[in-house]
Amino acid sequence: MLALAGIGAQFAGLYAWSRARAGMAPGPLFVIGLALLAASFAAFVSGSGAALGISRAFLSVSLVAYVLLVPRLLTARQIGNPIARSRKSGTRAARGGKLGLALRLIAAGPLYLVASLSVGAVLATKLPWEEVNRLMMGGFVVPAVWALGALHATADLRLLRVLGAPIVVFTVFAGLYLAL
Amino acid sequence: MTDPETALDAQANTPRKAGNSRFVARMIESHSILGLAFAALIYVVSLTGAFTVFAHEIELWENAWAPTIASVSGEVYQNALEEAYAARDPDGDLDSLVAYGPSEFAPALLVRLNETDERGNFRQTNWVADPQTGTLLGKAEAPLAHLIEELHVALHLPAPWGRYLVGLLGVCMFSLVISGILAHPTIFKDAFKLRVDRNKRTAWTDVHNRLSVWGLPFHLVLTFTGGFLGLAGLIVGAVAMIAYEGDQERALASIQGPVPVEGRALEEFPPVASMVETARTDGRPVELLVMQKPANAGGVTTVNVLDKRLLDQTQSLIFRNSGALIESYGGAGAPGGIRALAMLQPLHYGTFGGYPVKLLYFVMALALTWVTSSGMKIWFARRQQQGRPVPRLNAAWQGMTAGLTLGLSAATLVAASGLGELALAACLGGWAAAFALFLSLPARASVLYPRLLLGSGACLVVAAGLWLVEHGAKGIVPTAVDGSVLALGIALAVAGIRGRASDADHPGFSSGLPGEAGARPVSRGPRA
Repeated sequence: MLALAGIGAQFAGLYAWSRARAGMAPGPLFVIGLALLAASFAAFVSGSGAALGISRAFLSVSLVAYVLLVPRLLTARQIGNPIARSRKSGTRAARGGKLGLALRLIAAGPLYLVASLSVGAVLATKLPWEEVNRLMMGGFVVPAVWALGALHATADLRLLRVLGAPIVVFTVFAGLYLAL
Repeated sequence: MTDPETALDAQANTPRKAGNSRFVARMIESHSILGLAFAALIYVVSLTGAFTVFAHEIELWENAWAPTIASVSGEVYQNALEEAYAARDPDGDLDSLVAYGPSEFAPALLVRLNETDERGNFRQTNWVADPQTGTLLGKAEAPLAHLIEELHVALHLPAPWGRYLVGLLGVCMFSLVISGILAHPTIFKDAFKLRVDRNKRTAWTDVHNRLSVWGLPFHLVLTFTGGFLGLAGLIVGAVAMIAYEGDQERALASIQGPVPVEGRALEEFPPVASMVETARTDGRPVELLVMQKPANAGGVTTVNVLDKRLLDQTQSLIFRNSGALIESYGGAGAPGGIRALAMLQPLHYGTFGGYPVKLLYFVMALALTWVTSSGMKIWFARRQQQGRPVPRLNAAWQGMTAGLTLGLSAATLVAASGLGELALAACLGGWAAAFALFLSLPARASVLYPRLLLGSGACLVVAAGLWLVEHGAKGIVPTAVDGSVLALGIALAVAGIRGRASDADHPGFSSGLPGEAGARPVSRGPRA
């Protein structure tokens, strides 16, 4: 019952936001939408507890938003009109050509993997926590650090920094491991 | 994600705006590099992930003869595992015995024997057990469920490399989500912007952004948990090497609880019935029972019981095979690390809220697949707008996506026809044929796409019909799966017909699912 009330509040909240974005009393409707979404989360948490309630609330708010958006996609005769004009790209970033791209992918892949494993290993062994907690923290950190590293390696324009950063991270954490 | 050229066009305004635009442009470049490099694999993992949510149900659909029940007694588990143990290869090495369910999602009792034969080959045998007596009724064959799961967790590649690759994809997707957020400074302002009537590039950018932004919590959780689950073996290995001098078993024991040790030989089979009764004293359902080294008192039997009030639902009661309870592991009151670990599977597979949550996961995973597909459409449209179209690559992408749909549909059809052993061949064959067809006829891609959808839909409709003729409406879960196969088949067929009609109305501008084809062959150079 509380979950249904939460979903109802999410529909109303997102509808208020969509109206606000369309220019209809943007300030008040934004606040009303926010309040309704907060109420929906409270309803889910009251019904299922914090962890389950928040998970279900996030999931259902995504679906509610899709319900508001997707019918427009499914009923559209086609998505987008043909592109008739052409223009030269204005985003030719200096990335070092194919070799540069290959080096970036090496940094994003194996180099940052090793760097993230070194961060994870230090946290898993040196954090002043209960063994299982620090092991899990060390483990959880690996995909997160690797993902951020991959982002850096593919976004930073300076190739030297792209290749150097994971090596620095590894060196620092290897040093920390030996020092602590 | 903001349009990259719009981002750079704004550079001339103020120094701060120019800095922001450069940052956004770099984020988009990062998004493009990783997205383009792994789009095809991400698409496969996402689409099969949507169906993996229902892997247990599909398994039951493939074994519709299996008797169903809500719960079985400890004696039934005892008998079923004893029978499976008796069926082992006496010259081989038994790895483990496993009993599954009955569970909320698959109300049948299944038993698995994992063993290594004398030549070192791993072998797995599955049976359906009688829920009243534990007698093994026959082999459980689930090639379709296995195919879908294997494609999702390992891309059907050998262990452990397939899992690592999927873990890498999880990490990439997590990185893509972050770069997508950072590339979108007007994320709130544009929250409902959906300009499907503009040019393809703008329209698909809006579709991509809206599906991504509103699915953001799900995408973050799914990609992170997927990355961790895929890389778990690698991470444990690395931590073991550093913290436990390479002793992986000790590392695993720290995380998963006690592991088997060498003890005296047991004269009788471990007392499974009493273990089960001990584990579910408060009526919690048994999810899984894993027995390692059954003939040895130092072996371990783990009984997983579910507490549905928690996100980390599983509590493991770990027994020595002599029958002594060693440890209760997980559940309320357990250390945070253990509870966090136990949350990964429910969060990744959506098993924490019954069928409503599973259905939401299915929809969200399909949306993630569409996000991947729309990302590629943006890139194709961008190339075309820049006067550098890539028609062959566009056709290859469509061949890959339509081919996977056709391959999975063909696998479903052969599974329903009782030729399950051909499921993998049918899937790969259909997929490869479609890919080759599109690649060799890129100019015909817009015509081929809806036809392939129609063909896929026809396969599924026939599969659902064959199953119904063979089994009748037997059992709620298998019948519901069959109904879903039928509905999906009809939806694909309608999309295919709609795409063909659209193609007839506007030659070269077809779309099956709206824009899902749109594979108009593009000419090189500027157009008038």
